[in-house]
Amino acid sequence: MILLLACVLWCVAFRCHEWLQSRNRTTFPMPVRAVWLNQGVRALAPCLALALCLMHSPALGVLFWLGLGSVCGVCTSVLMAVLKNKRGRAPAGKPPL
Amino acid sequence: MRDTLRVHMGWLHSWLGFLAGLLLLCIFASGTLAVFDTEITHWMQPEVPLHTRTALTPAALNAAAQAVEASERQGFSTFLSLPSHRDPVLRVLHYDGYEFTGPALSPETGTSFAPRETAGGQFFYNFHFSLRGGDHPGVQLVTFLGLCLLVTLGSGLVIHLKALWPDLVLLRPFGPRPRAWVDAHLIAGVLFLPFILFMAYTGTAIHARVLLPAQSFFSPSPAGPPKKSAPKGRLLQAGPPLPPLAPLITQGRERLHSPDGNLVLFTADDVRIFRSDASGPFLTRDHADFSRKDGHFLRSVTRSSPTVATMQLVRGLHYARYAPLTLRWLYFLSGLAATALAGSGLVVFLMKRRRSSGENAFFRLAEALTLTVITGFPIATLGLFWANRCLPVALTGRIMAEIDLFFTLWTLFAIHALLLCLRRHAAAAWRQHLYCLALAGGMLPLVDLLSGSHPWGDGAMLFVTVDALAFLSGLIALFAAQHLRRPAT
Repeated sequence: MILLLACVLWCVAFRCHEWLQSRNRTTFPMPVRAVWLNQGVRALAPCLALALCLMHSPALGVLFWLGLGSVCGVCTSVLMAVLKNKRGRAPAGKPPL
Repeated sequence: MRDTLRVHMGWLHSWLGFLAGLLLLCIFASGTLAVFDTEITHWMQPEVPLHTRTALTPAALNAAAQAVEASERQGFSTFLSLPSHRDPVLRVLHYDGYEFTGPALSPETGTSFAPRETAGGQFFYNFHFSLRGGDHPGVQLVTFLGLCLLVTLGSGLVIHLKALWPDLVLLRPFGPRPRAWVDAHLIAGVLFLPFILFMAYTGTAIHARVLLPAQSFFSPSPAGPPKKSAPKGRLLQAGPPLPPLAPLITQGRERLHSPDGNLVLFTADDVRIFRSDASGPFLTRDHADFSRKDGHFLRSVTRSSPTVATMQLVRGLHYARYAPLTLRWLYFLSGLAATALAGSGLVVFLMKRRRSSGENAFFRLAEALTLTVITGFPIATLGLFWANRCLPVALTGRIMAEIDLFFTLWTLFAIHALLLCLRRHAAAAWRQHLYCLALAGGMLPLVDLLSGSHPWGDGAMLFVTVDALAFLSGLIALFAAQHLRRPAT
C-alpha cells in the first residue's frame, strides 16, 4: 500500500512537470495560481515518495524510490501521449533524422 | 565550442553505441532474465515441488552428505545449497564449467526429486557475465563492453543535456516513426539512467581485475615450481567421510545470524558454512568453519575491511540476491528498459543512415546483425523454453542439448537475416522474424499445458507468470509485425 502511494506521488509529480512545460500551455492552459501549485507539487511529491519508501524499507528505500520513479515516469509519459493524442494536439515535432 | 563537443560526442555515441550495443543488448536481456534465474529453474524443473517448505532434518542432511561424497569420488568439487524461502529444496551442486548442476533433495526426507536435467536460469546468468566464453575472453569482453557502455552513457548525456529536464517524460509515439523511436530511446535512457548507470558501473567494477590485473601481464613467473591446483569445479582428491552435518549447520547459523539459504562447502580438511546471500545488500563471504574429521568448530570469518566491504556492497547491489520480490520486479522492469534502450538505439542508428547508405553492403550487414540480436536472441531464448518442455525428460546430455538448440536457432535466424538483408529484403526479414517470435511466445503456454509436466495446483503462480510473460512478448511481436506492414508516415 505504501509503495502504491509512492507510485501515485511519482505519477502526479511527472504529470505536473509535463503540464508545466511551455509546449503544453496551449493543450493544457492554466492560470498563474495553478502554475505555482503544479510547481509545488512537482517539488514536494518526490520528497514525500522518498519518505514513504524509507518508511517501507529503511535499508532499501532509495532503491525502491528510484525504481518506482523510473517505472512511473514511463507510465506517465505513455498516458500523457495518449491524452494529448485524444485532444488532437499532439506536438508531433519535426522528424529528428 | 559546445556544439563542437556535442558533434564529437554524437559521433562517439552513435558508433560506439552501435558496435557495443549489438552485444550489450544480449547482455541486458540475459541479465534481465537472470534476475529470476531461480524461478526460471523452477519452471524448467517442474518435478521439484514448491509448495512445501519444511525445516531441514538430520535424515535429509545425511542423504545430502552421501550425495556429496559420491560426487567427490567422481572428482567434482561439490557443495550444498540449503533450502530458503526462494528455493525451498536441498540442492547438491557442482560446477560443470558453465552452470551449477546437481540433484534436488527433499529437505524433510532427503529423497531425490529426480528433476530433469536443464540449463535452467543459470544459463542466462552465465551468458550475462561471460557470453559463455569463460574468463578469457568471455568475462574480459563483457567487462570491456561495460566500459564502452559507461562512455556511451556519458556521451549520450552530453548530447541530450539541454533537453534533459524539459523533455523528461516527452513521448510522441503517434508522431513520425523516427521521432517516436528517438523519444523511446530517450525515455528509456533518461528515466532509467540511475539504474543503468549503477548497474554498468557495478558490473564493470566486479570484473575490473580481468582488464586491469594487479600484476603486470609481463611479470616474471615466481621462483619455484608452480603450485598444483585443480581445474575450476574439480577436486584433486576427495576428503575423509563427512561428520553429521545437522549440529554443524545449527551452530553455523547461530554464529552467522543467518537462518536459511546458506551454502555449505567442503574441502579436504574443513566444512565451511556460509552466510546466506539473501541476508542483506552486502554480499559477504562470512563463514564458520568446522573440522571435516570430527566436526569441531575451527574458526569463523565475519569481519571485513572497508575496501572488501565496499566490493561486497557493489556485488550485492548488482546481483540483487538480497532483494525482496517487489524490488526484484523493479530490477526486472529496469532491465527490460535497458534492453529497450539498446534496441531502440540500434534502430535509430539504422534509420539515420538508411537514406544515405541503404545500398551499402556494410549497412545491410549492420541491419542483419541488428535483426539477429533484436529478434533472433528472444526467439532463441523462447526456443530454450520450448526445448525444455519438448525434449525427452530422460535424454542423456539434456543440458547441452538445450543449449545447442539455443545456439543453433540463433545461428539459423542470423543466417536468415543475413541472406534477406544482403538481397535487399530487410523489411521482409523483420516481419518474418517478428512473426516467428509471436508464434514462439504465443504458443509457449499451450506447449506447457500440453506437456502435462506439472500439476497446476503446485506453484501455479510461477508457471502462469512465466507463460503469461512469454505470451505477452509474442503479442508485442505480433503487434510490431502488423505495424511494419503499414507504410511509414
